[in-house]
Amino acid sequence: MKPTHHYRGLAAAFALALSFASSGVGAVDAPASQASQEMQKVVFQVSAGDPKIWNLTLNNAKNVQQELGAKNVDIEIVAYGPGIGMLKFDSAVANRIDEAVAEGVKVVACENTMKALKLTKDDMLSSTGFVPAGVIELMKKQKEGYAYIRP
Amino acid sequence: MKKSILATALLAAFAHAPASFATNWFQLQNNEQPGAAPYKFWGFIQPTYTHIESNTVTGIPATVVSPVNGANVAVPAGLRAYNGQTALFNLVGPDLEHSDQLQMFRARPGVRGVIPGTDEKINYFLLGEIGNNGLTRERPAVFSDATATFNHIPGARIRVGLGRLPLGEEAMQGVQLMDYINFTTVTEQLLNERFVEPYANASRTHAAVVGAPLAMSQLNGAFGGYRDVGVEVYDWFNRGRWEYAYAVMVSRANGTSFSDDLNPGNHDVTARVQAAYVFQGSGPKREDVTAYAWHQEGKRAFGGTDYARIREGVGAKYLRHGLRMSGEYIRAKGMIYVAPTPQFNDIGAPAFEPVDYVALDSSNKAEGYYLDVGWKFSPQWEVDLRYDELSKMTNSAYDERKTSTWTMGAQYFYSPKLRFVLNYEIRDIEVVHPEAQLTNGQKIQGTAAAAIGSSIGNRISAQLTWAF
Repeated sequence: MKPTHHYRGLAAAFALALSFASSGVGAVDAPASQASQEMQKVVFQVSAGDPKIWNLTLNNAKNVQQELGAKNVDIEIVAYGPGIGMLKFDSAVANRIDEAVAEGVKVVACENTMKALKLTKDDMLSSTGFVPAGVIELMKKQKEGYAYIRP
Repeated sequence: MKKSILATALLAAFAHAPASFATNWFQLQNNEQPGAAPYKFWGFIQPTYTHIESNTVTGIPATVVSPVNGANVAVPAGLRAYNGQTALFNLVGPDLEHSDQLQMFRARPGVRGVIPGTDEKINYFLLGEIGNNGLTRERPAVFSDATATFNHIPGARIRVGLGRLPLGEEAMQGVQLMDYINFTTVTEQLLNERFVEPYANASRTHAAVVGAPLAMSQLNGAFGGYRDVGVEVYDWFNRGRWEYAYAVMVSRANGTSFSDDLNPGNHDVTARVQAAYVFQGSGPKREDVTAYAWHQEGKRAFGGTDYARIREGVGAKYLRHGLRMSGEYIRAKGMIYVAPTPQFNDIGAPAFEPVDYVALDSSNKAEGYYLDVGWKFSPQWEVDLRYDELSKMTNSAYDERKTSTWTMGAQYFYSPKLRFVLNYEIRDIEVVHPEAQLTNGQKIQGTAAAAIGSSIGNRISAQLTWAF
């Protein structure tokens, strides 16, 4: 649990820093019209096993695309820990995952979690991508400037 | 009057209706999700508009050619009086008064949950029906489901109470999820049981039946609704993407009635097995390919004698990437509900109401099937096409009648809770073996039956399903 809390704090710090950074850029360096076309980036953390959280995450992603335009935003959903069930073949939100991927959302599963639960790639949804470690993926994405959301 | 001819309710004697498919209905209907609340109120309503082409009977001739000697034989005036009349199958059930009707077809409020303090090992399911259909033909409000499930024994969950029988796919599917508005004729008429009792009125002028021995009866109680009161043992087993399930139910064979009045002293045994390969997902729209088989056997009390009643079927369903294909074959022996006779509301002088003809003995047979395809080409839209067929009295060439229906449908999913369905059904009734009309009486009645059957009209239905 401790490492998780650590990463969560780190992620929050990144998110805070990014929010200031983008505000600054928008306010000083670019006209409003140009700023609105700037590619936005957001990464969602799913580490809960509750299908309500899975649906909420997918709703958030859809809303972001509708608000900003699907072409104007990179969205990635990272599932790990108990949240890995969201991307299993028998997931309650399987069809919604397919729809999100078709709309350009990247959805990835943590291979560390899969290994711990003895899940193979065949056990996962075919539209799912994979990353070696979900938490590391979250850190990397925040370093790359992704806003961090944990529904 | 209304009560006795209600038999024809949704899809009368030789009228029709629709289908859908498979998933793990045992799990969905008998169990709760982990972490479920002690109670959850839910339900749905299905207001439905139906229009049937109000064709009237034409073509019952004044004479027929005798199959015995080639002479012209007069058709009785009582039969010719049906010309110009609207047959029951062209009226909207269950009221059978109009060819156009908007009604609250189903309205089912319910509550389900887990019993606190049982470590989620006991759950319950209550659902009422206050809509206008075969379940409420005698009382305005009834229970359609009232069960408790005990999940203590690995591999053998036990459900007790009033619940669904492990029958064919349409019969097991939640009606709020059906892709069509009406059931197929084969499912509706062979599995949605009409309980009957002997009935004859000497003051009436029913003509003698000239084919196989049929009993005159009248409906007794509500339709079975694919349900019964009893004990069901069931479970499912997952092996990777494969899922195997079974269910065996011993029940009282009285439908939704908690009394033993409709079929005293008898019981049914119903069993179903199924195997599914799951592509992905869960719930009622799980993407999978499923094969299943089921069998039901029991006896029905009628006039002091018990008659065997057997139903069985096999089927399969495929759903993947929005494309659905399904089909099922069903056959029946004994207690075949044949038709109301005559197929008209009170007419003639003196007026008489129809009686319900039933083929009691297990030598009487019926069989049918349906094939269905659907394509959900966007999150909001789906189109559906289905063909179904039912042949009754296949053991007697003279009596055999075949109904067939093509159903074209469209569904609009406004939201996960709100759905609109539009169906158009092309319906047909056929006297299968006119060459088997070997006597003058058979020729006369067979000719009239063909003329009446050919008056069946196509049906258009629109339905809204709102789940809450």
